[in-house]
Amino acid sequence: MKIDYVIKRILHTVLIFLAVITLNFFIPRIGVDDPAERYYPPQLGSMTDEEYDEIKALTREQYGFDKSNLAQYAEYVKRLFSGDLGNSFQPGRPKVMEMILERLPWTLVLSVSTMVISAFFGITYGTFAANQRGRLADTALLASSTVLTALPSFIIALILSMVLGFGLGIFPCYADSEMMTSFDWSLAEIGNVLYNAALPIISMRIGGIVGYAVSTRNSVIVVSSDDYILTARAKGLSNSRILYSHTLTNYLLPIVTRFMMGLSGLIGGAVVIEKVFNWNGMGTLFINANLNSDYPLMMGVMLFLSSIALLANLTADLLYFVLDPRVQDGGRR
Amino acid sequence: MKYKNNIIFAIAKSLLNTLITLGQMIIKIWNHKKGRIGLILVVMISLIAIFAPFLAPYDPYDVLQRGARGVGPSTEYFLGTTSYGQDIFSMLIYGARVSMSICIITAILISFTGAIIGIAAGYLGKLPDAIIMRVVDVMLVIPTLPITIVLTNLFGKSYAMLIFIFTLFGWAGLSRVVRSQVLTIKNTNYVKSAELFGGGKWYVMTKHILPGVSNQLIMNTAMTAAGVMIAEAGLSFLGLGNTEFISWGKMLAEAQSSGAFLLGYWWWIIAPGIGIFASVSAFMLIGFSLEEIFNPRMKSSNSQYKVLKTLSGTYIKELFEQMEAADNVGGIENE
Amino acid sequence: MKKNRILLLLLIISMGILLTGCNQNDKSDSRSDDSLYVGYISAGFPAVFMPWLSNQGISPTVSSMIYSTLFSYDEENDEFLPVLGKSWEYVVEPDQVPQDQDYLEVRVEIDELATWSNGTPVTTEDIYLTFDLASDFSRSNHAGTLAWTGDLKHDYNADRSGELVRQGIFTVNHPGDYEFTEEDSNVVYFHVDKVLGAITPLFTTILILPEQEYNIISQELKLNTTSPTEELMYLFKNPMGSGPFTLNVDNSGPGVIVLERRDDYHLKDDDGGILYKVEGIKFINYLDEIVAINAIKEGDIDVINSSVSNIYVDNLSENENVSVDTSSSAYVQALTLNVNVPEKYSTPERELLKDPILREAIKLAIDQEYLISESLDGQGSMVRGGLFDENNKYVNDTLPFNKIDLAKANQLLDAAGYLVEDGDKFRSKDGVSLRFEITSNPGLKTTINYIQVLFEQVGIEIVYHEGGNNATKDYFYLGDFDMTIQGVSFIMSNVDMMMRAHFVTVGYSSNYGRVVDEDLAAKVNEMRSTLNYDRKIELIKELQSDIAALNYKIPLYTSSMSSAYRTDVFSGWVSVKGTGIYNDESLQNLTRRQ
Repeated sequence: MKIDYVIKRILHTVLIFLAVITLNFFIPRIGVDDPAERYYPPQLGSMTDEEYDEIKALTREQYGFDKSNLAQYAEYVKRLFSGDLGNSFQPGRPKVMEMILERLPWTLVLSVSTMVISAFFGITYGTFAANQRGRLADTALLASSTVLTALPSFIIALILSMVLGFGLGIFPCYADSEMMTSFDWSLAEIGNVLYNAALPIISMRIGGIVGYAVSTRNSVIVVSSDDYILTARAKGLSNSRILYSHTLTNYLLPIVTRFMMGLSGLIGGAVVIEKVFNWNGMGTLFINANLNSDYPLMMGVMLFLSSIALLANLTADLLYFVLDPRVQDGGRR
Repeated sequence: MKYKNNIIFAIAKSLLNTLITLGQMIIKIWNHKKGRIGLILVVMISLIAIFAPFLAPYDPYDVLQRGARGVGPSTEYFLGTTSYGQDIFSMLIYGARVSMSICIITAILISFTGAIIGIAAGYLGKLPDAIIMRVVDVMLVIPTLPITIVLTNLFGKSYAMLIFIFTLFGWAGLSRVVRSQVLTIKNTNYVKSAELFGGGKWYVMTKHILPGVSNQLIMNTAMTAAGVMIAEAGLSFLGLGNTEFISWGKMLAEAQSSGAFLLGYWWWIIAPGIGIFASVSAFMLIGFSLEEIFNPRMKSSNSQYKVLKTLSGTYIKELFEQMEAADNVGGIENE
Repeated sequence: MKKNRILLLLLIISMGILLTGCNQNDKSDSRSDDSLYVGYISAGFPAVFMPWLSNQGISPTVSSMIYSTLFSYDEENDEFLPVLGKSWEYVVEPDQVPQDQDYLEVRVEIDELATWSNGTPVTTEDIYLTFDLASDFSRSNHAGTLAWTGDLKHDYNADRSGELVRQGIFTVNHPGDYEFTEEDSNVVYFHVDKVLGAITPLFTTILILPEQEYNIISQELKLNTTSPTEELMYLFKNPMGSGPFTLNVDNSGPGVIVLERRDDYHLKDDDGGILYKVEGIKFINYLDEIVAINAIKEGDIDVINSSVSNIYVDNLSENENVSVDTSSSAYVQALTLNVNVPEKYSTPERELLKDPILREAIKLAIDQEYLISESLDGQGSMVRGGLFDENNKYVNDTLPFNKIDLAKANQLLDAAGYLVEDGDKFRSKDGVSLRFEITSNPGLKTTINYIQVLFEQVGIEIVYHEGGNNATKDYFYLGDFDMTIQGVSFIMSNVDMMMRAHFVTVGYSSNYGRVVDEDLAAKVNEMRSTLNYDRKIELIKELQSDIAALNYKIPLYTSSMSSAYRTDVFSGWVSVKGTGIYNDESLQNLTRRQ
C-alpha cells in the first residue's frame, strides 16, 4: 500500500515532466515556418538572399531541423537525460547548464534565506497571534496582512530602496557586482553578501512573513480545537505545553507544503526584485536571454525552473506521506 | 420558426436570470460594510477610467502638453510631473483605463474557462477528468513569469497577448478548486435524483452543478482581478507590457528607470503605487464581503483570513499556487 | 502567558541580530586596487569571449582589448597606424597596376616585438591562419568574416567544400610564387581586389588569432559551431591575445570583468615607456542606467561607458567630483523609408512610399531644429541630406541643410493627388490613407512623438510601433516596416563597405539597401573601384547630393553624447568625438592621483 502510493506519485511526476519537456521542445517551433530563422543568431555583415538561404540551410543541418519532428524530439530528450540543456546563442556558445549553475547559488541566496526568514518569523508570530486571538497582536496581523497582500513586493522594494537605500543610506541601493566573483566563504564576505542581500530579502518577504503567520494562526486555532487537544487539556496539561507539543507538530504538514511550493515560485518570482536591486541571478540571466532572443538559454532556464517546481512538489508529497499516516491511503489531493 | 423563437426566449431568460442574480449579489455586497467600500472604489475607478479624457487636465499621450520637468505636487500639476514633463495626475487617470480593463477582462475570462473545465472534469469523471487534471498539473508546474516572457518574445508584446497568457495559465488552479466542489455536489441527493429522472448531462450541469459552484466563481472573479492587477503591474514593470499605452505598472517602471529615486521625485512612485493599492484592496474588500455573505456563520476575522490566505501571493503564479494550497488544506478554517 | 513573552523577546532579538549582522560590514569604499572602474549598462556579462563573433553587449569592447588587429585607422589623417603590423605598402602603386592584373599586391611587415600573452612572438603563421580561416566558411561558419574578407583574393570553392581555389595570402610557410629570404620571415603579402578600400576591413576589423591555439579548427570542429568541444570552449573562456590587456578569468563574472595591463605589450609611448598608463580596468555591470548614475555619484566607478540621459546631467554636475563631457556622436539618425519592400511584406501604404513626390513632402515636413530642441533638449546638431555628419572631413558642405517647408509640402501633396477627404484629418490617395508606422525601439519614442506632430501638419499620420528586441533581425533585415529610425555612420574607413550595404546590395541583412536606384548603385561601385584617391573623394561628395535627392533616408539630427566621469581618482581624461570620454586615448593618458 505504502510503496504503491510512492510509486504512483513518482510515475505521476515523471509523466508531467515528460509533458513539460514536450512543451519546452515545441514552444520555440510555434508560429514560424522554419525554426532555423529563430536559431540563427544575428551576425555582422551583409548577405544576399542566396547567402542567407545557405546559412539557414546550414543552421538547419547543425541543429538537425532537417529531420522529422519526432526524430528531433527523440534527440532532444536523449540529450536532456545526459544533463545537456544545449548551448546558448552567445558568442562562443557557452553551455546553458553551466550558465544556470553559475547563477543559481545567487538566486538561492535570496530565495532560501527569504523562505527561512519568513517561515521562522511567520510561524513564531502566527502562533503568538493565535494565542492572543481577538486582541491587539491578532488584529495587527489582520490589518498588516490586508495591506501587504494588496501591495506587490516590487512596490515594497521600490519604496524600501527609495527610503532605506537612496534616502537614508542604511543599505546599499544595489548589489555589489564584485561580490559574486570575490566570494570565498570568509566571514567578511558572507557578511557582505548578507548586507547586500538585506533589501531584496526584506522586500521580497515582508509579505511572506505575513502569509506564514496567517496560515499558522489559522491552523493553530483549528488544531487546538481538535478533540485530542481537548483531551490533553482535560488531562491537565498546561496551555503552552499543549501549544508546542501538539499544535505545531500538526501544523508541520501544511508548512511543508507551503515551503516546497514557495521554493518553486520564488526563483521565478525573483526576476523583478533582481532587476530593482541589480542582482545578477537567474532572473537577470533570463531577462538577458530574452533581450538577445536566446531561445536555447530561455528554454533551458524554463525547463530548469519547471523541474525544480516538480521536484519540490514530489518532495512535498512524499514528506506529507511520511509525516502524516492519515494520508497513506488517500494521498494528498 | 417556433423553435427559433424558443431559443431566443431561452437565451433572453437565462440572460435575465444572470442579470437578476448579479443584481442581487451587488445589493448584498452593498449592504455589507466592507463590500460597500470595495464596490464604491471599483465603480469609482471604473468611472474615472471611462471618463478619463474629461477628467484629466492634460493628455499624457500628447507631447505638446508636457510641462516643466520634475515638478513636485502643486496647484498646476496636482501630483507633480515626471522627468519628461508629463502630468502624473493625468497619467494616473489614463493608466486606470489600461490597468482596470485588463484585470476585469482577464478575471472574467479566467472564471469562465476555469468553471467550464472544472465542471467538465468533476462531473464527467473518468477519462475526461484524468486528462484534464493531468493538464492542470502541467500548467501549474510551468513557471508563469518565465513562460510569459518567452511567449511575448515569440508573439510580440500586446495587452491582448497578456490577457491570453494570464487566462491560459490562470484557469488551471481555479478548475481544480471547482472540480473538488463539483465532486461533493455530484453525490448529493438532488443531483442523483435529477439524473434518475432522465436529466441530460448538459441539463444537470447547468441546472444543478453551476449554481452550486457559482458562489466560488463570483468570489474568484473578484480575487483574480486583484491578482491580475498585481501581475500586470509586475510585467509592465519588467517592460513586457505594451509600450504604446500608459498603465500603472509602466508608470512605476518608468519612474524606476528614469531616475525618480535619484532625482527625488517620490510622487512619481507613490501615485501609481496608490492606484494599484487602491484597486487591489477594492477587489479584496469585495472578496471579504462575499466570503462573509456566503458563510454567514463564520467569524468576520476568520473569513478575512481565509481570503487573505488565498491571496497572500504577490505574483499571479503564487496566487494560483495558493488557490491550490487552499484546496489541499481546504476546510481547516471552518470552525 | 509567560511563554508568549519569551516568544516576543525571541522575535525582537532575532530581528536585532539580523539588522546588526547586516550593518557591521559597511563597505563604503569598494575599491580594492588601482584599476580604472568602468560602469557598463547591460543585462549581464558573458563568460566566454570568442574574438570574432562578439557583436553583443560588452564582448566587442573586451575582445578588442585582448586581441589586436594589424593596423588601426586614424580618421584625422587618413592613415593606418601600426598595431601588429609595423608597416605596409602597395608593391605596385594602384594606379600603375597593369590592366590585365586583377589584383593589388600589398606587403605587410609584422612587428617582431609583438607577442602573445604567453610570451611567444606573433608570427606570419598567425596572420595566415587568421585570414585563411576567415575566408573559409566551411571552417569558420561565420558570415561576418566572409563579408570582411570579401575583397581578399583568397578564395575557397563556392560550394563551401573547403577546397582552396585561389591563394591570396603569402607567408614564408605558404610562399606561393614568392621567394622569401631570411629577412622576409616577418612579411605577409596579400592579393586584394582592385579597390582602394579593400585593405581597410582586412587591416582594421579582423582580430588576429593565435595559430598555436586555433590550429584545432577544422571542418569537423568549426569555429562558430553550435556545440563547441571542451577544448574549444577552453580557448573561448581563457582568451590569449596579443592586445594590451589580458582577461583575469578568476576574478571575472556576470557582474564584473577584470582586465590587467600587459607590461610586455610591444607598442610603447613616445618616451619608450609603457603605452597604457592605466594598470587595469574593471568593468562593472549595471542592469539599469540609474544604478550606474548612482554608482558614479557614490564613487564606485570612474566613468560610464555609454552616454548618460539628459535628465541626469544637472544632477550629476552638482557633484564636485563628477564632470560631464559633451561631444558629438558619430551617428546620423535618419528616418528610413521602406522604399523597396519585399513582396512578402508589401502593403498599399508601403507601395505609396515608392512615390518620390511623397518622399520629398515627407522631407519638407521634417524640422531638424524643432526635433533637436524638443526631443533632445538641444543636445544635438543639424545634418545635411547626404548622411555625413558635420564633423566629417568629407562632408559635402555645398549641400544645403534640409529646411522645413510645410506650405511647399502641402502643395506637393495636393498636386500629386494626396487629398484630405471630407471629414478626414489625414490625406489619402485612391482609398489608401497616409498612415505609416514607425517601427523602432522605445528609446526613440519621444522623437517619434514629435515627428507625429510635424507630420500632422501635412496630413500624414504616424503611429509608433514597437519593434522586436533585436531590430536588425526582427524587422530590419526582413524589410518588414513602413518607416524606422536608423543610425547611419559613414566614415572613411567604412565608406566602401557601408555605402555598398546601404545602397547597392538587395537581400537579407542588406537591410540598409532596400532602395533600388541603378544610377546610384553604379556611382557607388565607381567610388569603390576607382584607384585614384582624389577621384574617390570627389565621388564621395557627389554621392552625398545623390543620396539627399532620393529622400530615402531623411536625416533627423546627430545627437550629442554626454559622458560622465569622476576626476578625483584619475586625471588626464581625453574626449574623443564619437566615442565620448571613455576611449583608447584616455586609457593611455590616465594617471591615478596620489
